[in-house]
Amino acid sequence: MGTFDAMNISASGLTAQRLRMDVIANNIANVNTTRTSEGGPFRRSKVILRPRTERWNFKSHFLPEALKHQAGEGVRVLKVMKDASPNRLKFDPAHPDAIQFGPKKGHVELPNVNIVVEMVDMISATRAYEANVTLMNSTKQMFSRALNIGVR
Amino acid sequence: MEIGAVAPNSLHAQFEKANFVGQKKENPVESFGSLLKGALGKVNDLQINSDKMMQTMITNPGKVNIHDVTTLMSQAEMALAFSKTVTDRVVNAYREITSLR
Repeated sequence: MGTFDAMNISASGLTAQRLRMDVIANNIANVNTTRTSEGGPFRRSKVILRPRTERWNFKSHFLPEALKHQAGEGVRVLKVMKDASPNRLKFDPAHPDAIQFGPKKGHVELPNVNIVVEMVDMISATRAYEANVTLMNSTKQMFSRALNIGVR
Repeated sequence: MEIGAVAPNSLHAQFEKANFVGQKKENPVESFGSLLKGALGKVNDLQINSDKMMQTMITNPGKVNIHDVTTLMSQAEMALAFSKTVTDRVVNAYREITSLR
């Protein structure tokens, strides 16, 4: 283990939580967007995370235990994907994007963004960010404690 | 004879001995000064990196994450604190020796 490994792992967590925050901001900003370039209303995005292991494809049973990186190397964002859950429908015949034909005539398809869910996700991202910062400060404290070993 | 045990006069031991002597003649042991210089160069690189990151943060804040800047800054600070501790202790040891009487 290197001296800065814990800090680098926490930094990867900070980056991931920052990206979650960006995605949540985009979801909330587009809460009423009914028209997108792909057609249809805006769809909520969510972030998929996975552990970051740089040597994951070289993992072998013949590798000595000491060479394996047991603590891991942090987190990375696998992708930002669209939530496929159904859109909200609102009756508003005067809206330019209202459905013109069929049984749902007069309804507008609104994004599948739920403000309350986004709010909870936002708090979760903020707290996770804080936890990573706290861990980083603790790592730094441990380092400075270690420098004081044997000081008269 | 045990597996893995090497007799003192075996070819392997002779080879190692010859190699060690040759190496010693060519490169004498690295002096503490050059070791310290190398370490300080690495610490300085960390400082330069964190400075560059800070400048980017000031001139183009959209390009970097603030936590990357602060992480690099504290890493540079930690490396500097460590090298300061090492030099302080060496200087202390030197003082202890010079004040022997």
